[in-house]
Amino acid sequence: MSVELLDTLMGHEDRVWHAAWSACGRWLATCGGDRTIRIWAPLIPRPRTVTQMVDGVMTKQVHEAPPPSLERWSCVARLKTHLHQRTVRAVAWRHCGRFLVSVAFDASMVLWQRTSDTSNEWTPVIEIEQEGHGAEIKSVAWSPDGSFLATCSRDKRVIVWAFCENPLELEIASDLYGHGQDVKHVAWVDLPAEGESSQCLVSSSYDDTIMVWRLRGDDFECTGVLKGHKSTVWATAALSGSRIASVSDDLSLRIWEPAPSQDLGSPFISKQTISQAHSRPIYSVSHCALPAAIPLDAFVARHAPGQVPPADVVRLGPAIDAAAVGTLAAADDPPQHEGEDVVMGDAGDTGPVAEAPGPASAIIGLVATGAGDNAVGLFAEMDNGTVVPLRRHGRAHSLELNSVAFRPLLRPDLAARIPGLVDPQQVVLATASDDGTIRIWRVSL
Amino acid sequence: MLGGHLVNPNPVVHPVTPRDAGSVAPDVAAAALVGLSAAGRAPGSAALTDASGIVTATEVFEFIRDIKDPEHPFTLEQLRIVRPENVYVLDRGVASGGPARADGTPAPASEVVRSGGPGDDGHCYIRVEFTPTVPHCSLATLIGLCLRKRLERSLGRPIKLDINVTPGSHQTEHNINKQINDKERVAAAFENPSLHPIVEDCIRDSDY
Repeated sequence: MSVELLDTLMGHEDRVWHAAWSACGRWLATCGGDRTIRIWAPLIPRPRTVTQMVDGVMTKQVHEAPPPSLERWSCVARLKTHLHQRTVRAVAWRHCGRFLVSVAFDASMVLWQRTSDTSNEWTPVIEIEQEGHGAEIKSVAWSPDGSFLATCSRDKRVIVWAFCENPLELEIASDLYGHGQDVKHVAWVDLPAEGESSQCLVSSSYDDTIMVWRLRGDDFECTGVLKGHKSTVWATAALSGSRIASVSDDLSLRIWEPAPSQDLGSPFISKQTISQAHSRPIYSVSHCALPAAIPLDAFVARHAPGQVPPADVVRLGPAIDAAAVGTLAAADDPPQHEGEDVVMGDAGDTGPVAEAPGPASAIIGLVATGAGDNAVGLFAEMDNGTVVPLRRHGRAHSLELNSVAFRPLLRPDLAARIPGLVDPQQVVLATASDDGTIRIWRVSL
Repeated sequence: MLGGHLVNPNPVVHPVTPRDAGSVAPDVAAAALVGLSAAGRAPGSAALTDASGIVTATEVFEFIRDIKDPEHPFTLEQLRIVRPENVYVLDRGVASGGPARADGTPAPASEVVRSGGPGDDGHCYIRVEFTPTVPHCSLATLIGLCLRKRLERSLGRPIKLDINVTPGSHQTEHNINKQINDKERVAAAFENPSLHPIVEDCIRDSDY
C-alpha cells in the first residue's frame, strides 16, 4: 500500500482544528485559530492564449487547459464573520454543500448558505450567540437525513437542533445532560431499531465515556453509556455495519459493535482495542467504505515480502506478506508485533464484550487516525468486523494533527453525476494540523 | 498580579540555586528573545545545551525558574514550586534531568515519555513536575499554563510537553494534571480574555 502526499494547503494564519468534506466530496472546509473558515477544491486551470507570429501574421492560439488534478488545490472561498470572536473549532456540511455550520470557542454558531449553486459565495443566514451553549462549542454534526444538527460543549451538554429550510429555522429540539464533563465530539451512526428512527447520536467526552442517544417521541434520550477508555475520548467515526471506532487520550483506538441483544443493557459492546496506536493523544478518526471489497489474498499478493518502507514510515501492523495470510485469517489469534497491542474485546473493560470474530477474508474499508505524535495511522477494516493496523505514517505534518478526514467515496454511477469531482475513485485523505496547513494524501491499496 | 483574597498569604521563600557560569545575563536574554538567532535558539543559551542543539533539563529549568508566582512577587524557584530535579527531558533519544542518581546516569526515557513512544523518534519530550505551595492551591492550573506558554515560546523547536503536579502535593492532582495537559482546554484558556493577561504578566518579567 502507499500513502502519497499530493498537496499542502496554506493560507490559514493559525492552527487548523478541523477539516470536513461535503457529502459529494467536491469541497473541503477547514477552520481554526484564525477564526476563519476556508473552502478548498482542486484548482481549475484556465485555457492559455498564446500570441505568436505565424507566416508574418500575428495569430492567437488557445491552448486547452489541462484537466484539474488532485495535486493542485486552491482556496475557493474564505468565510469570516464578526460573530466568531474566538477560535472556530469545527464545521459541518449539510448534504451536498448548500448549507454549512461553523461553531466557535465563544459559544457562537453560524449557519452559512451558498448564494447560488454555481458560485462559492456564502452568506451567514442564521447567527446564534446568546442561545444554546454557555461555553466553548467543540463539535458539530448534521444527522444523515439533514433534519437535525448536534453540537456539544465544555458546558457538558449535547444540544440537538431541529432544522427547517422554509422558513429557515434552527431551533433547540433537545438539551441533553448526562456527561459529567466537557463533551468533545458528536457524530451520527446508523443503527436500525424496531419502530424507531435508525439515526443514533454518539457523543464523546472528557469524562472518558461515549454516550449514545436516540430520538424517542419528541426528544432524544440516552440509550447507553460506553465505558472502557481510560481517559478523554476525543472522537468517534461510524464504520460499516453500524460499528463505531473511537479514539482517546489513552492512546487507543477502540471498535464497538451493535449489541446482539437488548439484555446486555447497552446498544454497543466492545469489540476490539488497539492500544499504543500512537505515542501521543489521538484527536481524530475517519472512515472510508471501499466501493468494492478487496479480497485478502489479492491484497497480500500485491505486497512482496520484505518490502522496506521509507525511514519515517513505521509499520505497526502485520507484515503484509504471504506468511501473514494465515495469521490474518485466524483472527482468534491476533498478530502480535513489537509496539502493537491488539486485543479482542478487552477483558479490562467495564461492559459486555463481543465474541471472538471469525476469520477475515476481505478488506471492506479503511480507518485513519490523527494524533499528537504528528502521525497518521492507517488501518484496514475487515469483513469480520475487526480493524487491522496497516501503517503509521510519521511526520505527516511538522506539528500535531487535529483532524483527519477521508473524502467520501461514491459509487461510480453516483460520482458520474457530480460535475467537477476529480478522480472520484481515488481514496483521498485530508489532514489538518497545528502547523497551519492542511495536507491532501492519496491512499492506494 | 491577582487582586483580592490570597490563597496562600504566607509563602515560604527559599534561597535559589546559584546560576551556572554559562547561564544568560539579563540584558543578553532580553536581546535574545526579541531577535532569536538564525538557528531559532537564543544566543548565549548554547552554553546550556550541547553543541548539537539537543535540549537539556538545565536549559529547560533556566526558562522556568524566574516565572513569577501569580500571587506573590517571588519566582517559582524561590517558592520551590519548580526545582531542577523535577525537569525531565528526552530529546532525540538523549535523556537528561530528574533527581541526581548515584551512578550519575540520567533518568530513563520511560520517566519522560508519557507512554508508548519509542523516545527516539526525533521529537523533544519534556516533562515538568511542579509543587503548588499549599495543597488547596487553586492557582495550580494557572501555574501549569504559565509553564506551558513559557516553554512553548522559548525553545527553538516544537516540543511534546507534559506538566504534572508533583505526586502527593495536591489533593486533586489527577484533575489538575488532566486539565493542564488537555490541548483544547489549554488553547481555550490562552484565548480567554481574563486569563491571558495574567499568564503574560507572570511570564513577562522572566524574559527580563
